[in-house]
Amino acid sequence: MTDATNGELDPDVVKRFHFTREMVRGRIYRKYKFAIQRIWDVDDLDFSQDAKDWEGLSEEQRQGLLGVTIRFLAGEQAVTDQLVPMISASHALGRFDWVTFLSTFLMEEAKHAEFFMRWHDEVVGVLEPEEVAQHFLVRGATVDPSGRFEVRDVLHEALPKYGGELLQASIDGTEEEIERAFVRFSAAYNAFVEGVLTMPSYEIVIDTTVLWDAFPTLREGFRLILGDEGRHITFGTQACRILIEKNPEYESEVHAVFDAYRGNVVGLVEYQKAVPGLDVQKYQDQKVRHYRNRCREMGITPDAELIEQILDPEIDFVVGVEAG
Amino acid sequence: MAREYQCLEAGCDQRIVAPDVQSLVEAVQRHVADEHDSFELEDVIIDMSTEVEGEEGDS
Repeated sequence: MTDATNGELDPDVVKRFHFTREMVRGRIYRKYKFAIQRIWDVDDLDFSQDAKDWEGLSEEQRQGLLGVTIRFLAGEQAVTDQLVPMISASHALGRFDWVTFLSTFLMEEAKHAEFFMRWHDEVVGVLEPEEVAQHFLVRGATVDPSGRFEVRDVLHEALPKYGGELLQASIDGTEEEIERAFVRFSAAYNAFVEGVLTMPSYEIVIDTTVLWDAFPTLREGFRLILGDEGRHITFGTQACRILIEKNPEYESEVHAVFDAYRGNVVGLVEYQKAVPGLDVQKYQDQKVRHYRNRCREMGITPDAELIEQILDPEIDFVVGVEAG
Repeated sequence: MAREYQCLEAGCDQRIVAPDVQSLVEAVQRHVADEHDSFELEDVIIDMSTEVEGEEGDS
């Protein structure tokens, strides 16, 4: 609204508008546009061939595949449920393009959860929490015999912890406290969980469907989900890069998160070793590429010791798998 | 202008150049599939690709 007396704009009115030409040209807004242009629907997928393939599996094959897919079923629900702090913080920081992109991020995570719910219901015949929980491989059964590393449940421990801190900071924290908590949460969520830890699991499931020449819809679902995840991962790392360029001290927050959950990334964990017949060392080696990619995207220096530990064949975990 | 992406697989570090973004995505995904029996995500390639002068690409 223009002031009638001197022609100046009322700043309170100007603040009601967020779009700028620079924002619309930016990387985060481009991700929002890509997400809108590439929306897919679980209802368009046909699970009938996968259901037939399931009938032909041995009990060992079933338990191996379920060990991974059940993790995805739990994981996609967890990340859907844990995204609100990032939206709240983006709003508090006045990052409208981040809020805009996150609207697609949240919808896509909910859809990924729906995909796994439908696959387990229509292919395996399990859906209720008590049914699927029987196949959840217990984290306490994975042990590092050297005693150097602790394998923790980063998804169900770190995300609620860092998310709670971020939500609180977005309500009553200073700008620096919000930014620091954002970097911690995004490092855990987008860089660590989505961008490094889970990448081998995607490959394990895709390779399994190829090895067994089965489950075409599971493979197609993973292809669609990975297209979305690429945007999610690189949104988080790009946001971290922006904040770290503003305050280089935030880089230490990323390294602290990776250090806290180092044990999860230096070896493969129980559900990643559950499918018989796969060359699992390949997935371990590829984690270095994913880790170095995430560091490059965030504009930070990779931890050389962590890379050495990921590649060290002597660091391996004893896997004693127990159903939950 | 051509675009370049460096593969960060352990022991690789190959630089891949292509005349445009879409060709680069295809070239990198082909490299990662053939050399590392893996895949690379489209957004990862696009975000970390850089412009290079005087290169026609696909190496």
